[in-house]
Amino acid sequence: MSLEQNYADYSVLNYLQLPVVVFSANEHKEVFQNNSFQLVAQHYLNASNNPTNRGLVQLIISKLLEIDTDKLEVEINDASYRHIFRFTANVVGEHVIVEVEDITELKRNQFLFNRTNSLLEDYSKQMFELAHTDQLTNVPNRRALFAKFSQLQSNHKDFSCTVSLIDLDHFKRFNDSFGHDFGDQVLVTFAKHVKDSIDDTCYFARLGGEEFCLIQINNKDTVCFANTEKLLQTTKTIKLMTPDNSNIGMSFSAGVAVYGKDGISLDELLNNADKALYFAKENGRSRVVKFEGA
Amino acid sequence: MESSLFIKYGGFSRIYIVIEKFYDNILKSETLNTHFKNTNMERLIHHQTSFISSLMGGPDYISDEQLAQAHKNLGINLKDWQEMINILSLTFSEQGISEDDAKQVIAKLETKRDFIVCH
Repeated sequence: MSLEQNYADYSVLNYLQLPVVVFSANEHKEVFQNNSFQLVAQHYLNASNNPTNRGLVQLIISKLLEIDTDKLEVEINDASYRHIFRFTANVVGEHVIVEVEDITELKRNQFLFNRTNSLLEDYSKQMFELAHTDQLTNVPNRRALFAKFSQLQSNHKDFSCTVSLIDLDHFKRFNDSFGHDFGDQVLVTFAKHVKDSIDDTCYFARLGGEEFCLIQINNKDTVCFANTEKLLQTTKTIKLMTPDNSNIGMSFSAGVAVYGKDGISLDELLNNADKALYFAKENGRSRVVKFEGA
Repeated sequence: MESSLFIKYGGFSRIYIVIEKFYDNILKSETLNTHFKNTNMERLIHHQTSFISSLMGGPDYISDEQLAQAHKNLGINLKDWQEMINILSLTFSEQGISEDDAKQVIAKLETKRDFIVCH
């Protein structure tokens, strides 16, 4: 049987209207013994006396001269026509079947899927950031603090920490005397000061209003307490320019609770730190107080 | 989400079609089609869809440095650039992008000219 005869026998796939060419492996051992698609395609070219396919096949051959593969994608285009074809050679019993598929739509959809997917991932990350960041001060919010605590607790076998609940002194007075914009400026300035003062063993978040939380991880209680004290001293050196051009200082009161001794859950630790904070406020503000138990 | 031309015109799926038509028109241009011999148009359409989308307020795609790097050996001159701009305007008009919106995108594209045209 000649290749020409084989060509005459090719079947047409209805959905693609492109040929599947079946070659007899027995008749053409020299072609198929190394299962080379390049050779198969060469014979396809020889057999292809259909002028509508010739240009296409010639292009494939020119591409195949560079590579030897059983699968090849070929793009054909000019001003009025652009299609991408996938050629696949399969050995089935004694035959090699060369399949041709038009994958133009598939490639377009793959691109759209990938780009849309990456877009969704980006938006998803942005949404996560928005949901976990305080928009005014740009520090983590309450939700982020609880998530971080839970993560630290479950990921570190010997986890320990201190929780400092920090409340800016006389914040209401700032707002009432100089307006909410100035109040916002106080919060932003304080948050930036803390961020610049701590290292990566600390996690700082705004709980809401003028209330913040500083978690210090795996350090001695006394060191953590001293760090919060030091933070208070440096905060007191900050001078803010009020809308009426006078300088004003700031300070905070803090209550400190120790993981294990004063609680295991963050709710419990914050609750006990809040009791110490209340004590600090009642005793003149601008001080750091340890929770001492009931 | 911030409103943008990218959202207004239907995101990647719609802009992809505009860019396909743009390259159909490019390939009809005798001034420009020589630049696209042996070019993988599929890949180019993917890049260009992402790039034009970014100019329309879609996600960031390519830095100016990368843009300059990608075009540095292509020998694109000012005449080619102007022809490309004309074809893009024509394609936008054919594809139902309003004149004002098209001008806005082309103005953004013009800011990238020095990274694309050879000097």
